[in-house]
Amino acid sequence: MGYFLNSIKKSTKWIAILICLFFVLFPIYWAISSSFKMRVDIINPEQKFIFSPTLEAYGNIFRRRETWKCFRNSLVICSITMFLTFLLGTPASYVIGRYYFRHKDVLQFWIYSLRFLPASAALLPFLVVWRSLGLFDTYFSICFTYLIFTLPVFIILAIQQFKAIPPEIEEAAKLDGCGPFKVLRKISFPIVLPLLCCIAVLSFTLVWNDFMFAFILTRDLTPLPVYTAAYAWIGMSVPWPEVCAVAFFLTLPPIILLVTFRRFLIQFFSGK
Amino acid sequence: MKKNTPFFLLFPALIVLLVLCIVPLGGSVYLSLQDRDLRTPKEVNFVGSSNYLELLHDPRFWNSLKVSFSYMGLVTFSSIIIGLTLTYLCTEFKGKTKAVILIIFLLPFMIPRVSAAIIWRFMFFPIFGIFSYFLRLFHIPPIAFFASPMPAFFAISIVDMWQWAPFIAVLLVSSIDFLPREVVDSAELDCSKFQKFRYVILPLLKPTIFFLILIKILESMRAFDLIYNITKGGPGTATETLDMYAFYRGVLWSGEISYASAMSVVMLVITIVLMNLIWKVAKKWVTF
Repeated sequence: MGYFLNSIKKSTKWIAILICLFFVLFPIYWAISSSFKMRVDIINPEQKFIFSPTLEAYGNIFRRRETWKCFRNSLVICSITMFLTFLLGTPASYVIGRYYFRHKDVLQFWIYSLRFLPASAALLPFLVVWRSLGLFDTYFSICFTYLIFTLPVFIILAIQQFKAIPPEIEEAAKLDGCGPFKVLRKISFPIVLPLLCCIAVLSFTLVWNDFMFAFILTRDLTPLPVYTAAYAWIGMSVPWPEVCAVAFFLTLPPIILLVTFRRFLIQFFSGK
Repeated sequence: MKKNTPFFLLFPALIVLLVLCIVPLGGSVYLSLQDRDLRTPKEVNFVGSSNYLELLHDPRFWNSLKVSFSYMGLVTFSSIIIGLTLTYLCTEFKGKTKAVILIIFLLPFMIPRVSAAIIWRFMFFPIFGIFSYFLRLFHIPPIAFFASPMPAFFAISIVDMWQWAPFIAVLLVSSIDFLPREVVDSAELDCSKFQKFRYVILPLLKPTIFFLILIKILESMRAFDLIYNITKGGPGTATETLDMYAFYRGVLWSGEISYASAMSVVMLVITIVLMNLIWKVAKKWVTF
């Protein structure tokens, strides 16, 4: 009897988690499978779960030059922002993570709070500023505005990595006559570089996923999310297979990154 | 302890962050006192508080404020509750299985919000959407999700929960591993699993949960991308949040950017109050 109860208990937990995983995964599966359907199958209210896949939708979106233009815009904007974030964030987080000075907690909190500035309060003044400087719709203005949320996230996460370096290593280097800059360059930086790269990639996805900033601050330099959103609002008869295909295309880079870094993430989540 | 802190390494980032802080804060207050219009390049006059007075008499502003707050409340409450349930479920698993579950739970959060919004809008679509199909299986008449206020509101909330509840679970599960081992392990000796979760782990997690609640509140104030891509604020103004109305008034429909800035100042005040609350909590519980 006890064995029976135990096995029921075990199976309930599995059933519960499978239901949860179904709810998490089903929308993603449905969008991906719909992108391989014909438009006739999509409009059919009797859902077709088994269908003959076509690449028609992908052909349609990749034939459009705009898709590639927006993809390129996205790549350029995200890369520049990631690079700037890395360049500005690394030395700052090194100082905050490694040294003690007064009001450090206030500084840290202030940096973190910038990430939560209301989007409209951030965007409307910047829109006016970039317009009056004649910089509206340039790579510089967009990337600089993106720093408002990538830089705080990068710094907060990077501080933890610098804190985790045993201070003895740095002390030893200092005793041998290294200045703070040399310690950072020769000792600390190489140790944390892999993790910093992970965090930089995270800031890349933050920018990649963003819609709001790009929507307000771009006209010709539209990145992919804005293009995708525009695709989904065409008139009354939305071309759903194509929309699903674009959405999937937009989702691919973050998913690829998640899969690439899964080893690191699993390590992180199993608490090591 | 260490005398010669190399502050010069801090300066480049600090200068950029200062600009990024001052322009929004000062800029929105400055703009809100003017009568600037993006469409007509005319002289800009200072009009004092008239934008704010106009706000007081704008029913659409009050509506959007109401929508913002009810959205915030609903989404925060439900995603924390669901997140906690998922956390409990995850603690039943160990090792590799747990790690894989957590990675899958992270998936909805990694998806761009635009894609998430589009996927769900497609699923909620009236005639050929998969939801209508499921409802028909159970002989329930189809719901036109985007035609009436309440269903539209819930449809948006479900998408937000789909993204956030598993993510909250991921954060909580991984912070359980940082709790004092002895306390958690000693509970294992004479408690059932649920008791251990309810009376040992949950109280220890309280600071983290409170932190997550406040962060979720702040995060749900910037739901523009989600709502715009599901309902565009419709039907009517039933799902129009404050930042959405500000963007519509300030940029998309008409260029009354000063009026919109007055709204964003209101949002700033709300955010600053909440941030102060977080700061107090953080000082009490979290050591930097």
